[in-house]
Amino acid sequence: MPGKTLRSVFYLWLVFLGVLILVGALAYLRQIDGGLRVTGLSRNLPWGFYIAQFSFLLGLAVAVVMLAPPALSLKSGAGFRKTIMLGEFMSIGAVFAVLLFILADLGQPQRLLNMLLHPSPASPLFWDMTALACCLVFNLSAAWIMLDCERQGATAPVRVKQLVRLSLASVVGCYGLAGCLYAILPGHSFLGTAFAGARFLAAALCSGPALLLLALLLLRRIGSFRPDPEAVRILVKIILWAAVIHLFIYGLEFISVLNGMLPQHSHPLLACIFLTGKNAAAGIVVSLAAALGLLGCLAFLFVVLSRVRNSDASLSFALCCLLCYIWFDSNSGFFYGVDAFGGMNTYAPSLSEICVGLGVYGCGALLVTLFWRAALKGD
Amino acid sequence: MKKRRRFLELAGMSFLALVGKILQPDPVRAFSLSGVGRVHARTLKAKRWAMLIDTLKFNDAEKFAVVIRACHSFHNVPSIAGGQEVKWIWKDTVERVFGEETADYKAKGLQAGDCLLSCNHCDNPACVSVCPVGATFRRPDGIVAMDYHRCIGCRFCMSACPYGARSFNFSDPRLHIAALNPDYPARARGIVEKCGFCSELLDRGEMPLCVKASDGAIVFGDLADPDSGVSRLLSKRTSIRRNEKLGAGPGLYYLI
Repeated sequence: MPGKTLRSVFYLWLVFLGVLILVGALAYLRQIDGGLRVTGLSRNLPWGFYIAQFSFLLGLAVAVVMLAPPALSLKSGAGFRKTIMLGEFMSIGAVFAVLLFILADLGQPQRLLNMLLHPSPASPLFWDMTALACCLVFNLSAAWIMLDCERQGATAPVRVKQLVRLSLASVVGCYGLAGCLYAILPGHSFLGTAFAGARFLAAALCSGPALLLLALLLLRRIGSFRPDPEAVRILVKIILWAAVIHLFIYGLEFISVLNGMLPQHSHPLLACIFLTGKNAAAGIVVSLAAALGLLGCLAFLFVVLSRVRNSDASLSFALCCLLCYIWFDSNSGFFYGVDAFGGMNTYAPSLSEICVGLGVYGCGALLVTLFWRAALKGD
Repeated sequence: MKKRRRFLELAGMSFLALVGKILQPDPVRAFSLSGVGRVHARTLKAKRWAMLIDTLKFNDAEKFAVVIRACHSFHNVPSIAGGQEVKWIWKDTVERVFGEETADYKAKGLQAGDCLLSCNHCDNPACVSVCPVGATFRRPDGIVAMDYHRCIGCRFCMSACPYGARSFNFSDPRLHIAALNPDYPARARGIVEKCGFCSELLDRGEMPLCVKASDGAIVFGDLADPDSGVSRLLSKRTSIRRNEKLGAGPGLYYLI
């Protein structure tokens, strides 16, 4: 494709992101002015859309961190390293968006730094914050080191590799601890299993590389950048295995819930599937369950059929399905909840919430676009 | 190139050092975590404050209304309709309050009607352990108190409370208060609030407002003292607590 068209596509994209950010900023100003009453949140379901995006994006950021050690230790992996470097930049954008979602969710955003002034290790949110900080520090230093290696045409020194492994352990550990966030919530007891942390990690390990791969395929289609085929192969393999593990854990959860049939576990699930229970007839729950099932099936097809993943178009489609599936999965737990009195509550984000969310995603995408633009200038 | 790199490294280090300095533990804190602030001569003290609600004496709607009004009007609790309401003490049906425990084997006195609800001031409060800033804390006398100036409004405590005792100020509460009571601070928008067992009245040697307004239907006292009113009543009458299997150790007892 000629350079001129590419440039206009690039500027159109920037304008599009600018509009998103503007809409988000206006919606956020309205929220600052009126308080969180402009959201669809309530006393019985105090957490919703913002928190769901927060855990989805944090997972995405953490997943890309997990790709770095192989990139650093592969001997002849300059192409792979370049790909992972793009991933690091994506991860930085995701961490930035996570921070914005936290700000958007707080009732008193100006008091955010109280989390640093009064650290409370008993709270899973503290570990969320630590995972976030580890992720940011790690990504910045890894990107720095990889850029340096590329400039000097050398592999990373052993000490750096060890450091990378250490930070990887800390990031995964903190994210795992943070994944236990839901174990404490009596209203979301279906999410409150020891599996939750592992399932979130597996889901993250799907979504992070999937988004990266999708962006690379898109770049290949519209631009002149050629991602390393070896890198694409490794990414697909990682996504595959993570998807298998995620679906396996999900299956175990369903089976243990349905076998045990403990009311606090089975009621939210059954209400979601069969619309039993009080006040559960909200359409959003039905569509959510249907979307989850459909996307899950498509994701499964992607896992099983090798022909799907060998052509660019069908691979992109499968990746989109997978991403949507993980997105819905990390959101679904927030659309219904059992309150302290056994009542089923449903929730739908308000227009204002959705606008703020779009704005935040726009900010993250803008950051990633600018980073990638700088990193790919030579190509 | 090398110079610039050296400069960036130095700048990063100095920034880290600065952050470290800021994060140093502050010896002066707005609220002492050891709990009770000023000690008055008349201050009521206990090892474990607890509340007994005599469900047999709460037999008409007016009785509930009097108690709820006494609390809400003094504490500037806004009256907001719908899902974003704020409440410190309220009533709900026995079915919903004691749902799973007693649906099939209803104890006498719990067969029908309403039941008074509030913060349970638990032994192991989930809200305290999940709070990322320590804005909710448990005092040595069993009261789970809040620092409204530290709360960042993350609402984790609301999600974690198994008794649904916490409310969030989705909008400015002052817009929904009919008559502002100048003797008690109104809260800001964007923070969580709940019942605090009237600790400010205990400091002045008075009983909590709901106890005073209940005409003997609510008893308040020291659970650790075998001669206190609550201990004597508990040894005489049958009582239940909400959702005991959770292990939170609620400090609200229902006499049935």
